[in-house]
Amino acid sequence: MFLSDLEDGEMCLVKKINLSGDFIKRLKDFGINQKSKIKIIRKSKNNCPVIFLVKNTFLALRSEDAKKILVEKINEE
Amino acid sequence: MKNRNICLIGNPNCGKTTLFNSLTHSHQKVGNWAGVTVEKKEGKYFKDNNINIVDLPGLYSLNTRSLDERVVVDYLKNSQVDLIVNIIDGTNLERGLYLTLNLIKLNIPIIVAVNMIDQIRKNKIDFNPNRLSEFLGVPIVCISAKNNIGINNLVDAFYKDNKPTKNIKLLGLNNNDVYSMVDQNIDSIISNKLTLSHQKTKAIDTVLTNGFFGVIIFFVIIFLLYYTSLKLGGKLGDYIIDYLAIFSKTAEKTLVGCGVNVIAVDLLVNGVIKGIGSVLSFLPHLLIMFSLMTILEESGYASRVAFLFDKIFYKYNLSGKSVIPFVLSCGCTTTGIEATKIIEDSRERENTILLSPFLPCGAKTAVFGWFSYVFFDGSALISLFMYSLSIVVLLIVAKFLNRSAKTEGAFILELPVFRFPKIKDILSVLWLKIKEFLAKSGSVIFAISIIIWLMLNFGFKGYTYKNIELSFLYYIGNTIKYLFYPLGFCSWEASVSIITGLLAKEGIVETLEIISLSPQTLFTTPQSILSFMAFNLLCPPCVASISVAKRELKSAKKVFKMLGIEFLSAYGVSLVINFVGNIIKYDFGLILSLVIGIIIAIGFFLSLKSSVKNKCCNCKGCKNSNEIQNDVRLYERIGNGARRCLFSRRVDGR
Repeated sequence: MFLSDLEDGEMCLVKKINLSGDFIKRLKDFGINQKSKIKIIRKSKNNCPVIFLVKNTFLALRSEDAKKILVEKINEE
Repeated sequence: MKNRNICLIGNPNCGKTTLFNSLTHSHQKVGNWAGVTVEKKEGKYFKDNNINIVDLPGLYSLNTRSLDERVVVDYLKNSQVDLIVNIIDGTNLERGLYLTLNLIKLNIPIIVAVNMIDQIRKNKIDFNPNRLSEFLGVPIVCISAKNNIGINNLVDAFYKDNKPTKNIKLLGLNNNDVYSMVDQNIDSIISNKLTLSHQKTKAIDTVLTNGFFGVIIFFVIIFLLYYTSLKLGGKLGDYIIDYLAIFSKTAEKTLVGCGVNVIAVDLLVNGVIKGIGSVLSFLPHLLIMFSLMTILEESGYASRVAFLFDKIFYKYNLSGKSVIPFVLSCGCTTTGIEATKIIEDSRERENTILLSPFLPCGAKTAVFGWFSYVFFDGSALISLFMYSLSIVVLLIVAKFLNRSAKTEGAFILELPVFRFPKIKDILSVLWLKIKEFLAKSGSVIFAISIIIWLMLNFGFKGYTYKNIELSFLYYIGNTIKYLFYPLGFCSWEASVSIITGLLAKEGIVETLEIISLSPQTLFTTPQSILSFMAFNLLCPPCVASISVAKRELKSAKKVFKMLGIEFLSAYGVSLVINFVGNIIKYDFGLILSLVIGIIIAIGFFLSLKSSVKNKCCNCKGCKNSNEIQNDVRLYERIGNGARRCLFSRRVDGR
């Protein structure tokens, strides 16, 4: 399952990021690395970027990049 | 006490600038770091001039990936830094700590200032400063820069004998360990809880980033922005022009009365004062535009706009973040080009700089107003036509611009929590921007107006005594007017006004009115007027914009490329307009336009083809990518040449 597949309000844990090293570094600066928890605020519709919440920050990511972040869905606590 | 050099470092939107303003008051100076356009702000602590405070660019880590980060790392390594003040947004502590650990590893004395402590208390978030201090091994000060809480404690800490971290364990961490170190310890320092402003932001965003309502709100805001700055700013600008006119008349009379050389007086009045006037008359407009834009930017709205438009602009080799420069360019191209700094991807940034001059700036809008008033009974359709034309041309040219490899994931956008900006911060930004504008663009416009005056008043036989037909400008206009014959206007006045338009677009109308007795007779057909307007809309911008573009692009070659693209598109579009007009009317110009049109089209096509080929040879992305098997197979099946490169790029982002 990829970050782009989740619906609004769903939570997930990051499993693997299939992106280049530079970009992984950049994601890490925003607090996205393996095992970090992400909550989808708005799923990507009509190619708009996806909005999600990670560690108290709202971030937007192009859907084609979100398709390369492998995640595991978890239930909200 | 000896001089101390203190650096403020923190994430973007952490309140760094507010703290800087409250520490330095107005004792600030702004410049650029040597060789780069990253802003450099320095100031003295307002109670003690021995303390020098440097405001470094906001950044997320020290991985030296972007220009901003490199500037900071170089500065910290090469300069005498006595103390780092690391500001962290307390409502987003965890992310701030990544940078903190990076900074601690530099082994420079450091204080951590946890900002927005009032928010933390208000939202009842469990925060343990002592535990944080113990973890980091450095002193912690809790402050609220916005509400002036704890600033005195922070200043007291400046005077203490600060040392690098006591927690030796942190010094040896490698970059990956930083993240896990923070992850392990964060729970004992602060409870993970969203603040009220986060909740509010989320609610507001459901409307603002909505594909339908968000776009409508955007257009309403933009309309108000232009309306206020053009109407109000234009009115104030007119007052300035009126006063200057009175002033220059009085000056002329007095000086001539005193027996000063007539030529010198004319240079002063029609060259210098007029030049200064053209700068000053634009100032109110810029002031209003800058302040409204600063509010939008500081409040966090600008990121939402970037989000809304990324979907469309990405297809045109631009970034969602290009919207802000484009919006600003409709007011003044110089500000638009300056604002491209926010775009991280260098390719998208370059494209945005190249395209910004296509948009009708305030001065061009005024020119169109004059034309539609003189030639078309003040029809509003003309302005609408020009606006649509500029957007269509912009998108078409964008499609053909540099399509080579995009940086992967260049678009990761933080949507910061909405905050009301402090008026003091806006004023301080405003003041610095205006100062910069006057110093840099002002001097260029000033120099140019003197040159124009010289060209208009001197010819091969020396001073022309107001006899325009002897001037250099007349010769030049007469020489280049044939260039514009296929476009439907072939008069030296029109040609000269295009040149003066290069200096400042307001100059077009001014020139036409000064050098020709009845401007109405210059253009014979409606299509020639439209083609003249379109040419001025799309042709290279004024010198002030070109000089800013040069500064931002940092390469003369790219500036020439920009000017070339703009000249060619202006010429092409005008040709088409005249051509279509002539088909409707059918006269001799048709055949000539047709021939030249075909030649240009073939030339354009050939250059385009060769440029695409070159890009492919340089693209290493195709061969090296083995990240996802599927994608590699996809591109192999597609086959050879340009298509393969384009396709695999889209698949793996290279």
